[in-house]
Amino acid sequence: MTDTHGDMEIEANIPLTEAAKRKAPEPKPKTLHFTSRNPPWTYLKLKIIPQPGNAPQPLDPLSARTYLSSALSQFLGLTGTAIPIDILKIENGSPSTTKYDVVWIRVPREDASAVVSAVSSWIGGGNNSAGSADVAWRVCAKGNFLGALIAGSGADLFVP
Amino acid sequence: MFEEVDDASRREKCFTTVAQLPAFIDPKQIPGKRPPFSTIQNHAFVHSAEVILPKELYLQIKPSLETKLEKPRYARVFMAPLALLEHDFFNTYIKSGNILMISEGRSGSDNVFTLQDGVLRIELGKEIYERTGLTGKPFRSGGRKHANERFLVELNLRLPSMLHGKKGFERIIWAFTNVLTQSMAWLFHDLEGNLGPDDGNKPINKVQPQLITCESQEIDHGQIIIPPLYENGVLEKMSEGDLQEYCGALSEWIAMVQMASPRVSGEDDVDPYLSRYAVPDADEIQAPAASDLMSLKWHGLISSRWIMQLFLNLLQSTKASNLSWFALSVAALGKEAVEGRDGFMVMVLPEQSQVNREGTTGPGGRMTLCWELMGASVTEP
Repeated sequence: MTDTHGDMEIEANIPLTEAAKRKAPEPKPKTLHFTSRNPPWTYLKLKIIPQPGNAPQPLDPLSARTYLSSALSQFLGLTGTAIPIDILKIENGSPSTTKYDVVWIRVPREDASAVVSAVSSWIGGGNNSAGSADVAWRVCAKGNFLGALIAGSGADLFVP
Repeated sequence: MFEEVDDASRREKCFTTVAQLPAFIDPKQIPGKRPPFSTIQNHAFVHSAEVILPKELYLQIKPSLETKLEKPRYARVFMAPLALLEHDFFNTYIKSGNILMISEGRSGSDNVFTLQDGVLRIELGKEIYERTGLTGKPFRSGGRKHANERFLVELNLRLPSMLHGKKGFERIIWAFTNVLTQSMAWLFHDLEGNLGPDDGNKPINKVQPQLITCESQEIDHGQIIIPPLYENGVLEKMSEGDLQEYCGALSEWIAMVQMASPRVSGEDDVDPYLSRYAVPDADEIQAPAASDLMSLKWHGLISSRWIMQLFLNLLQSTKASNLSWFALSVAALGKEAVEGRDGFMVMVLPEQSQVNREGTTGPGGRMTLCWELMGASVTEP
């Protein structure tokens, strides 16, 4: 719809030519500002939701990748499986306390909304190659800058 | 591939600043108009702070950091908004004192209260806003076009007219007595006094606070591949595109260390089918391939003032060593629904060599990179 490329703004106040003319006095500390709106990646924190009555194995990178490929091919066919996905981290909660399995992934920013639609509409059946139990994905966090997602929202502080 | 970028993604931004710090910083006269100092001051409510630095450096500065830096303290209370205006509380903390308070709730869907510098901000849905009889202004909620509007009421409680018995003030009391009556969880931080167990007669103790002291948590990151940290001269010579790419990849790397991703470890041997993440410019590193890092984490209601103290302390104590760098990553609490501030990251690079290329003595300030992030979507912690 709109052009998503090339609207990075550069605003720099470096005295470029001045330095060539005279050596002293030393130029003031230099500052460069720019705003990124279109970084290369989108990051997603996805949680696996087991269907009631099922107790799947703790998530590992390979099965996470298999689930994701399955969701993408179901939603987008072959094009979907061509979306590159980088698995950044798998988090497994200890089975004794609250059990949870989370995967952090990185996808090209342009593909992010397709990935979100694909994983949100997918429920894995028991018939795929990984032998998975019925599972679904939930998107816990999404953003184009990973640093904004790591610490969560802080809502846990209000809970006694 | 698909080129359909959603609305939330289009609103995300990262403001990056590359700057040289002054060689000397007076803690009483902080250059508050320039990043990273202005960035720190602009994030009043913080829920998490994390410092990443080489382990060796951390062991050197740990004693001084522990003695110079007080632990952040705050309280969790459960009360109705009317309790803010109760005489003792109001006079002690709002009129003459200085506190930070923030209520539970998500901007964009719940009633959310924040109190800072005597200004109470209340974000409300349309229906309840109209019932309160208070004056506010429309507020972006990020909802669909025809979703109910939301409103923001801002009340400066330090104005001379804000006194019990005055008309405007009685209107607030009416709204808090008749409409905004629900008790909710709040976080409370007294910027002026410590919140110790000994001050039993402070007004906050009347609302049964849960007093919390924020302990730092140490996390080891063994054998991490560190990207090259370029000097000022190198950064200046980079093209705009290269500089943006470098800064972006560096902030991503800091976040990768924070999340303890195995991808930044020197021992990682993941199949490229699962991940093709690579530490930026890792092939240009000539020093040891991987080294041990340390992170220090705080989680709680933290003020920008404390973050500033932490930052100045780190600057001061890492000055002596010329291979020292650190990164500080801060996450904001009470993020607004649309284009809300997520937080920021600051990275301070090692002290530069005193003699620059022309042979003259440089100003010797350290380079910093500062990233301010906004607009991400986090639904669950």
